[in-house]
Amino acid sequence: MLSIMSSNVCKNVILKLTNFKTISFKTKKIQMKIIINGKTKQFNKDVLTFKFLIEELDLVNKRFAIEKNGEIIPKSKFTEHTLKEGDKLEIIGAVGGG
Amino acid sequence: MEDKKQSIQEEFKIAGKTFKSRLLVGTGKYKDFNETKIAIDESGSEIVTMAIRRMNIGQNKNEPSLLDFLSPEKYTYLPNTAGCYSAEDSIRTLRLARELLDGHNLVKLEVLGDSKTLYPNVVETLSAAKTLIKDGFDVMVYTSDDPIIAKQLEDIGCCAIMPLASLIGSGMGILNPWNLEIIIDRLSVPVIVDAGVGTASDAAIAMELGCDGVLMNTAIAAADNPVLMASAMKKSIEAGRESFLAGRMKKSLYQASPSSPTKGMIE
Repeated sequence: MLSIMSSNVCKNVILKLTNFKTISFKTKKIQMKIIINGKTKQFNKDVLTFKFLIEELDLVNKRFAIEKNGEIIPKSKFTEHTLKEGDKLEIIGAVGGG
Repeated sequence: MEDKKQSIQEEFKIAGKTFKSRLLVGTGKYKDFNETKIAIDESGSEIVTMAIRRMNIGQNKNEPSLLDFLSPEKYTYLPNTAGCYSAEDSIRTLRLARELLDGHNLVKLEVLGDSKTLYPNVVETLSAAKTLIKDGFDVMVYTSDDPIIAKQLEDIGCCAIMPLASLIGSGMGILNPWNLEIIIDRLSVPVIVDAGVGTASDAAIAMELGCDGVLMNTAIAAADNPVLMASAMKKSIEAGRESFLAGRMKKSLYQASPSSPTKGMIE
């Protein structure tokens, strides 16, 4: 009887430990900082695609162009490109002018 | 001048594309996009300029865009490099503009030299124009009214030369018609007065000198009634053009010439 109880205690301890480990893994935030139009933005992602970024910034169906670290990223190449920590983006659009 | 007049046909071509209207307009300084659209429709313009700026990321989600009001399918956009003070910045801006407008190549190059006068830096302008032309752009170029620079810009392949009539946004009108006439006389690509026109008569004067077109923004946008001024500008451009083609009468400085018969007077 005692041995059964102690084995249950052990089980619980093991479960708690593994749960704890899982929880601690999940709460460890992976943050990526990128600079968009001069402002630093953080994303809790380890892989950041242009597609995700455009959705995140409400740019879907809008007319814009993007430059990454001084290089234009054509619309046709959005799926091929990902972003990394410290990338600098310029996102531009048309405004009234003479 | 005679040869130039005779060679002009009533079609206005820029970089191989034909336009009906010789009035080119900017889209800045209007109260809102709606006023921009109404005024530009009234002006009859087919070529409109625009600027390239950073987008407001995350702010004003449903903020309307200029391109929603004036569709790039209907108007020929002329992205500009306003605010650029170096060849490098201008080239970067226009490459982004080309990506924004799905490969559109016709652009307005303006490289400024001074923030107070917005006078062009012609050295940087020439350098930027060379690179852009090599890169496949059709470059309409804002420049000073220096005939030598204007000719050099034509020689390197700019598709339209756009000398100022007076400072950008000044409304001071045509300050040096003689320089403009020299430029018109020497060049074979379209010469378009860009900047300085203040009112309808200024635009008519530019056209009477033989300019191929006029580009303006503030003269319309900053009028008390921009829509009415847009209409006035349309007429003045047409009137000035026809007047140029018609060929004005000779001036007689000291001798009047009566319009009514001198014979048959009642005695």
